Amino acid sequence: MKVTLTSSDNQTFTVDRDIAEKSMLLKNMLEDVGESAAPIPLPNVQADTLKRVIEYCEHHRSDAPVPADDDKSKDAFDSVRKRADDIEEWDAHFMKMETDAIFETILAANYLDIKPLLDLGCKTVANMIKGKRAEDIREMFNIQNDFTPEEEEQIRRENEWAADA
Amino acid sequence: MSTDVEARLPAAAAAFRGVPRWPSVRGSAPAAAAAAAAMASSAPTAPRRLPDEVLAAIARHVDGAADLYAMLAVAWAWHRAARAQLYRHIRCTSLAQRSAIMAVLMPPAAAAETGVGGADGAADASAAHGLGSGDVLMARELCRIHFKLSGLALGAARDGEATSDDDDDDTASLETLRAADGGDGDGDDLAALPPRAGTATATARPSTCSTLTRASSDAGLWTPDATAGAEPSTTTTTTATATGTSSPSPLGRRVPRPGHAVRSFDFGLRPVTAPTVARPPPRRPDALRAAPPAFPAPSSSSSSSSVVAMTGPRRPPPRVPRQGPTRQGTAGLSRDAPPGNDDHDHDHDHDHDHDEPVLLPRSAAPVYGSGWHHRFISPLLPELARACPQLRRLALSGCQFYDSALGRALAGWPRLVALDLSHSSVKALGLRTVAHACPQLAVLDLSGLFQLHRIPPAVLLELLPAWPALARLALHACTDLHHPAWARRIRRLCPALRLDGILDGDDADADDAAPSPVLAPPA
Repeated sequence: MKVTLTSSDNQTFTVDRDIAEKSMLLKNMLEDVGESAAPIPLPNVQADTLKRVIEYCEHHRSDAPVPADDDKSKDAFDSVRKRADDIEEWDAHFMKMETDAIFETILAANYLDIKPLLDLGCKTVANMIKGKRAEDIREMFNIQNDFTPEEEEQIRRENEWAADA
Repeated sequence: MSTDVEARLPAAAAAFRGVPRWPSVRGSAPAAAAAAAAMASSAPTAPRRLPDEVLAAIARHVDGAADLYAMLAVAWAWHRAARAQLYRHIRCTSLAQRSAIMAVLMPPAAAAETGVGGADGAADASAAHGLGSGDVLMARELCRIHFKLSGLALGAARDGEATSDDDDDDTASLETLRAADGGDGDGDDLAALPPRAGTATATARPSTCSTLTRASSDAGLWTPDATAGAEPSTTTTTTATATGTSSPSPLGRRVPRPGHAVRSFDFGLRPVTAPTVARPPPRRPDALRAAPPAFPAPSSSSSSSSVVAMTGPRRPPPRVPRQGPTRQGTAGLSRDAPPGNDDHDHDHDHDHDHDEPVLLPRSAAPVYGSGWHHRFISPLLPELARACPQLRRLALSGCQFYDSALGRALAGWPRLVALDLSHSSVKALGLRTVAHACPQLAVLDLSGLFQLHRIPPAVLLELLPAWPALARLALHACTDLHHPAWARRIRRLCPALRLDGILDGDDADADDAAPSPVLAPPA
């Protein structure tokens, strides 16, 4: 069975249902509405982003579904921290894109609720942050500094212990 | 049918993700497309903001406090995410860092209560919640012993090196350094004590500590009169951190205190003979203020004051779990050493058996854990409990505290799941408190406690049923339990328990086993 998706700029993409169901959002919807040929509008996702997302889902179509993570047990024993550097080669190559596109992909993955892609995006951003100063990060991601100078000074002082930890 | 679907889908989507409901979908597809196009056209110019949950996920993937530190100052949304992650797991690596963290964690309301602002705020915050009078007396007594010891040590050091640069600020003299060292830590600890029946005023207290230290360095003895006249250079570190946080915080309005984010806290101390964590010397406050407005790069902490550090067996105060210089002792402590600090452990093997303090080169860092005031954390425990109610994992390895202070702290953490008491000063009473207060414990490290009959092994058997959820128990360096019968009896009580350190049947070399299960360093 095929599912038709419509991006925010009104392009349609037709994908297999199992690929669409990588997205928890679509999966739940499809379960709700049952069989339907009507296109599904995705007003938060642009066409090129949606294309990338579909590319990712197609590559990972045979992956086992991620188990819903058990926050409680993680909270108790989360000494095993997630590492940012265990990215598969294909994934790393896949994420080689403009920073804006990375953000769009993360937002789309968040909106569509595709956890592995969201994780991948976050890992990628985490790797980009590594070794950077706050100014660099702002510049890199085009983020506005919304601190007052006093607040910034306070943050710097208060958390200085972390600076060279 | 198809219009019905179209109408329902976005509504479901909106409900699912909590995004604002898409306005004009019920109509035809073109209307939706037009609205979408409007949104798309507005998007590119303004930078898209990542939602908070995404930022939190990014922060989780950032490892290393330095990178989180950079994230803190990017923007508010990033700040909140990084802050939650940064304070989630805290591991003390130096006295200065610990003091800074405690100052940050201390609730500001407490500082306000005392009515004393400014530099003394943080100290008074602890004083306001103070300790019982018995604790105070005992703490003072122990401080006295400590000062005497450091005075004697100083005398020896002075004989060894005729100092001539007393007034040189850059290479500060032995005395000031020694005093700075003591003043820092003791200000931290002692200042947490409430005033003794009105004799000491709140403002006099911090300088009292430093003056005591200075007196001790001058006379080699502890002199109780607080001549709090001249402003000593000794409270610098504590005051610096205190001013940072107790002054009305501009951040207070925007972010919650970080204490609630703390899930695990590790005092970072290791068994008495193992100062495993060496740190660069704390930045002096003058350097701190002179720091450029840009964030200092992690490596820029080179404004090192030269420091004299004591290593060698600082004879611990009474009741310290004595680690014999046996092979086993050393193995037990090196197992906890974080990777990368191995070189220190090798040093200790031969450094440790003379009684005189060893003078490190002036550039060397004071080793965290080398002084008793590093290890005496009794006053910090109740503070920590107040500041971090969400704590799940606590490492008190190598720490000195009163069982009563432990009990008071644990009362605030009924949901603690992992506790490391290895080589600490805990006694049978304290263990009973743990059993009473923390029924949910799953991981417990009691290494080094059951030796020299400090705690009767029977206490362990008595308490084990109080932790029904206990899955893992570490008993390294517990010579009193080195009989297969003990392991068998523990087994009988808790068949599913994973025992580290003592093995069923014969004892193999269990001590080179895994690092502490309670707070394993991030893999």
